[in-house]
Amino acid sequence: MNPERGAVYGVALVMVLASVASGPLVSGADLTHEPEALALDPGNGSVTVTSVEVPDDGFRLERGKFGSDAYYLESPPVRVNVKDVEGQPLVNYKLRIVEANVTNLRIYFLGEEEEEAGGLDLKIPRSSFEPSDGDKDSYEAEVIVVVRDNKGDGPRIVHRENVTVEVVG
Amino acid sequence: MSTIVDRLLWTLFGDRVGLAIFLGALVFFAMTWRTNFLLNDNFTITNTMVGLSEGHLYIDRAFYKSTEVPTGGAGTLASPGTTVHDGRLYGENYGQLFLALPLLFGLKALAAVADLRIAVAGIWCLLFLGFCVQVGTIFDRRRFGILAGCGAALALFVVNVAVAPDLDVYWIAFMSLHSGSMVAAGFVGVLLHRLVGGMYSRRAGAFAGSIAVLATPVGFWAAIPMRHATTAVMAMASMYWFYRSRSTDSAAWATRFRALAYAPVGLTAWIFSPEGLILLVALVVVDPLTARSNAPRRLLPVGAVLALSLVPFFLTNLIVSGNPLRPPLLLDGFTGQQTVELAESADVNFGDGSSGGDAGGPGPDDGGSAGGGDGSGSGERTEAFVAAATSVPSLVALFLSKIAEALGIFVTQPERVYHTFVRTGFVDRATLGNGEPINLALLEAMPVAGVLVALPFVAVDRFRTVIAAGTPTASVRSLPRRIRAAGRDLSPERSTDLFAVAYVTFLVLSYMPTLPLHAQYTVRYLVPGMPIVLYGAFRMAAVRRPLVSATDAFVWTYAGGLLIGGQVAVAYLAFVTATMGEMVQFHALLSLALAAPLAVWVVVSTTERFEPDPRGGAVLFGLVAAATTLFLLLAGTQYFTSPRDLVIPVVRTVAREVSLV
Repeated sequence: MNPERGAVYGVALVMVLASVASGPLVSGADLTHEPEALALDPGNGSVTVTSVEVPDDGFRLERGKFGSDAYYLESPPVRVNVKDVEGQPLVNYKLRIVEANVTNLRIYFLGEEEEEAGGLDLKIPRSSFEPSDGDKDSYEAEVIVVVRDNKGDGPRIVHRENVTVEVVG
Repeated sequence: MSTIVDRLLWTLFGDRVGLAIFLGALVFFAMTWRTNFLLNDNFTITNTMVGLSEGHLYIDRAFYKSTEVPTGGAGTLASPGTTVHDGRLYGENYGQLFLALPLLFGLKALAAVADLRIAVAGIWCLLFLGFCVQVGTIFDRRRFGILAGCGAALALFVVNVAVAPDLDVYWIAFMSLHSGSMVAAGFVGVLLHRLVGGMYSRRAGAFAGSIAVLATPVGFWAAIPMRHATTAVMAMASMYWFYRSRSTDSAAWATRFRALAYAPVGLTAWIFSPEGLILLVALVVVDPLTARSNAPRRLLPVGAVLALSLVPFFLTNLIVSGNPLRPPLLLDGFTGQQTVELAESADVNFGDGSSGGDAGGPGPDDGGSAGGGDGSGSGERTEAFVAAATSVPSLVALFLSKIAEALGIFVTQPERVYHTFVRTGFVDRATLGNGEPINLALLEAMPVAGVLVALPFVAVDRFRTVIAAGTPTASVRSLPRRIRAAGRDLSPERSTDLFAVAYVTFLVLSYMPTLPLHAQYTVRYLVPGMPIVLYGAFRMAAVRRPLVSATDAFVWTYAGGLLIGGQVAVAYLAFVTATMGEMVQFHALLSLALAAPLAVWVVVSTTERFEPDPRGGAVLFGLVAAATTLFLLLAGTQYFTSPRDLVIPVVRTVAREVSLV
């Protein structure tokens, strides 16, 4: 056997051996790892919300980049100050625009990080709207912050406030 | 032994270049291989595949289920394309599923003895090694190719193993469909290489095949369980054999190849009957006209092969609907309301450690793009349509009415044509519900197609020659005879051109009444015509010349464009925090911006007023190809998937680091 052929067979052999060794025929050996968990125990725990700060402006519908024509919702961060975080309570951030028949929702998992920081910034990801939604000058919208934890029965609304979404571009 | 393997290899791939294109294509396509659902249609055919692996054509449970559909029980199975007949649920694309069945058993066997993820990664590395060996041999550096390939493959494998997560055997049926589709897409490149290589030179063929793989939307659909790559290779095979039947010197071989050209008709119908019909019409219009002889003994084998190729299609229909001419596609759509017979258990055993149906992998990817369905919705599936499709004369009438409707669109609604072929942007029809402008027009998805604007210039030239040679005074009565005579005298290349024009025309006209449509991504209905459009491009000397004579300029521009330009593009997109829809539109504009100068260059070069430097054309080609490859890679690893779901571990890890969406 010439050396080139030997090299090819050698490489192939390594792959076969590794696959089989990690496979069901060989117990105890596993070369693969568990995929990283996404969330542990959402909704179980408790939190106290001390205050919620909603900026007055910065809620805008802007025309999309690269000629995508659609409108995109830009929103400023909403500050939620918290204390006594235990377990993994959830904070739901909703931005509802009744006239455009749209509710944007983002869910946050709280943990030690938020406890240490004393709070977190809520932000709706940029989301798209139909081009016809840009026909108006502005929309009345509602910011709702909901906490899901083991205090009380079910989710509780901790803040509700009206804001104006300006149409730009 | 070795000679049999050799002969098989060369029959399939033609030459070493064809084999290299195939291996490279698989390595490339597998980079976007992922275990999640792009469209709701995916559930239909993957659940049918599970049924098929157990020996029946019906679907009896939602083994793969959409997390978007809240209703339990049968309602979960109401994905587009699912039909109901006699209390049983049926899927679609049966031909494609049957072709993937051996791969399913192969993957099952693999999972029984080996770790699926590691084995798949190993196969990927070996394909890469094979590619290195072939390329090394082509360039007379065999020893270097083998040793460098071994080193690279081994290093890749080690990295793969180091970052490999578990891969649930739950996905085997799903992955077998991907594998089949990737093989089909690989052969699109091989066949285009053989076709163009046969007409011109090996180098021209190599470019045609490589560009088909790296820079057309065929690659987009390679690692997705949809029919498009598979029906594309069928049309390509038909065209290839059609050409061979014209170019061979032997009358016997001409008949054999001619008959072979009809074999994909039945297989395509088995996958998706309307596309089978389109292919058949193109052949029937062009083949008898341009054949050397239509003597009965020449036509008999053709008819026999066509009939034989339709047997699996008819048999499947017979078993499902009781009528060989009524495919599952034409049964009643399943709404979730009809009473159907389902299995009690949702489990299926794909080997040890199968977690069964409830393992519930991620649903349609987070991008939220999985809303759309296929155009063959229940609205189209009216009784009249069914009645029409099951008798030959009314089938012809239906086909003609579709074509008339499409021609009407070209005249009365040119904006729809514009949105389908040039610039999609945000079309209401094209987004339905999920709001993001994620669809590309043909030119945006395949900017290299822009060079076709030079075709009229070529045609005008040819037309002058024909007029000069013609005798326009002859009587009208002899016209059919003269057309036939002209057809028989056409060169193999011209005959193949006619087929290409006929196929693409019928494909476009058939689908135009439904376009533009949501969930098309890259005008997916037209994907089978795209390699043929690329063929059209390569028929122009102005396209081949820069690639063949300034190969270095092309290769360096392509590599630089992809590696450097690609990183700049990714950094820019991350910097401007674009959404998925905006990123897709960024690629659209980039494609158009690069397609335009290339098209202009080719037109100028075609008119032959002066001879531009071929290096200029090669650079423009390189940029266009690099931009398309970049889109294919980012679409398949970022925009339309969660990077978590990628199959090849090293690609998965890199994609998660990039994480654009």
